[in-house]
Amino acid sequence: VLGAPDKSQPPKPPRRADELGDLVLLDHDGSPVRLADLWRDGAVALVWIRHYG
Amino acid sequence: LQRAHPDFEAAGLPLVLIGQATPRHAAHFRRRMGIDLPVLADERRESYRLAGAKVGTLGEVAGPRSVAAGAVRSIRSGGKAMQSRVIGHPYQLGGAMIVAPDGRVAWAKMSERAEDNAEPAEILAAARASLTAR
Repeated sequence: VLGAPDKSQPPKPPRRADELGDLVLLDHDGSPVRLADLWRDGAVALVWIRHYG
Repeated sequence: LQRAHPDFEAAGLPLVLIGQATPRHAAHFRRRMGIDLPVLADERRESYRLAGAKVGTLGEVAGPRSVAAGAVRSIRSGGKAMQSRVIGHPYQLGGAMIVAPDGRVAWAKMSERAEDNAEPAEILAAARASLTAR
């Protein structure tokens, strides 16, 4: 099936979020957000949505 | 998650959603779902890759358990969470992660299957346990 792997792979969350922290994404208003800024002053919960549909 | 937003605020744990589409899609998603949580747009799915989120097989995304869980979620949300046109990679799975101020991943639950989502209470309990344990 298009885009689906044949074999199941386990998720592999990292032990540290340093690489994630360097990433800059746009928020719903189009403003850039550096992810490390989200946890600079305290812990944060990040939730990845499967899709918007 | 939106219903649990006050609990996250009371716990002092900001909650940020990340979705695999454009800011315009993210804004539309917020309006449609009636949520005020921040939503970041990751059309290239780079954060998914760095978070170790998996791309599921057909059985993991559209198997009987996933379909049944989706139906229950749709009913509970009053139709708001009903599956519509998929925006983004249809087999990309999500997950949840708590990141401590020092960049340590204090807790993570990345989905193994489409219906395998971390519940808000589970995230809050993990935050209490993992952030006070050090």
